[in-house]
Amino acid sequence: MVGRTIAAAALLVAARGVAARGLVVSPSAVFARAGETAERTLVLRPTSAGRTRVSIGVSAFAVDEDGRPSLTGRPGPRDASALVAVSPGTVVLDGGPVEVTLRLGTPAGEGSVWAAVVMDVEPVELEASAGMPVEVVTRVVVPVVITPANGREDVAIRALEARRDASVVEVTALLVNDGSAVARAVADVALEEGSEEAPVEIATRHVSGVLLFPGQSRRLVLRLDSSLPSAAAVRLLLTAGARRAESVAPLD
Amino acid sequence: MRRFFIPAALAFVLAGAASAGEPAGQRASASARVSVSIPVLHGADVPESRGGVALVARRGGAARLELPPLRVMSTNGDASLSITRRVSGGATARASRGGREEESVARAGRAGATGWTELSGAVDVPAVARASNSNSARPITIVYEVWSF
Repeated sequence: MVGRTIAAAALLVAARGVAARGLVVSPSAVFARAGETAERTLVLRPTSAGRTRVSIGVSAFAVDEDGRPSLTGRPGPRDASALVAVSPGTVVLDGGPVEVTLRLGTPAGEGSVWAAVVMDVEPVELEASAGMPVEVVTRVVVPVVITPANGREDVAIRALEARRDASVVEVTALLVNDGSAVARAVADVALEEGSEEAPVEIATRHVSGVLLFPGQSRRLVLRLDSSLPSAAAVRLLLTAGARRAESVAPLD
Repeated sequence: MRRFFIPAALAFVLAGAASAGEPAGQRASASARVSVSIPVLHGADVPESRGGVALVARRGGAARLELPPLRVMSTNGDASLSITRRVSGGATARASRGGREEESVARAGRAGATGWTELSGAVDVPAVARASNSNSARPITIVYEVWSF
């Protein structure tokens, strides 16, 4: 995993062979404890040799029950847009990396707040065959989560179901976070055979980076190979910091 | 039961050092057990114009617009990618009311040999053919929004 990640990162910094407009950003998300670090740095790299102008701003965002994020433009009660300052607001990538500084404020209340750093690459201008001008914008987004020192995670598995069809076992879990802090959870799913008293694990699936926002539920759907007719149950272990939750469901 | 917790515990140790979202260089201090620094990157691009893009007229003035391919990448893994495509402009009925079309393009894909995944596609653009003949036509704007976490 580590080797694959490093190899992928090395490939990313190499410029694309054909002319293109885009960028690569590191890190892909920022998780900060309030007061711990007032500044963070984003490193932007071009994906081709040409000059690429990038506009940078901050926006509110939300995540739906399936984990899909979206920019809302409407600040909610946990919006951190006013606490995230970006400098500079525009950069030009010209063959090398450029650093962008994020200055993070401290939230007043208890619990995590969040906002998104939005990087818009200048449009690629095309012309459709009917003469209509077309602009294509690549937008890369980095979410920023700021959590006060007293923020806490409280993850739980509210429901777990598993069903088998011809090719896969589909596992659906409903996860919740009743705490005040955004939880970055790890989900381990195992197919088991044997009795309830002495189950034996025969297949596993590991998913990291499952974000659970405070007060929200999250549906997690995983598919495992079903060519294991002896599998009788599915076990889910959810871990977020020191918190762990576990649930078992029979396989229909 | 016991066999399950061994890999889970190992995964927890690794996740503490290499979970998604931490800036490069920060993970080394996150765990004394694993001292590696892994850059977590994600990115996207589209090719620059080398001519036009196909716009296929349909009945009722609607059209189908073939899009240039979007390339995406995340070292968090493809499963962490969330990609949304928004289409606006073109003096369409919806756009003229300030609305826009929005579509989740992909939640997860399969990485190619280079680590990049290339997505191509097409979108329906209502009434674009008629709009293109009028002075009120605005450019069709397509925004690809890429997240990784």
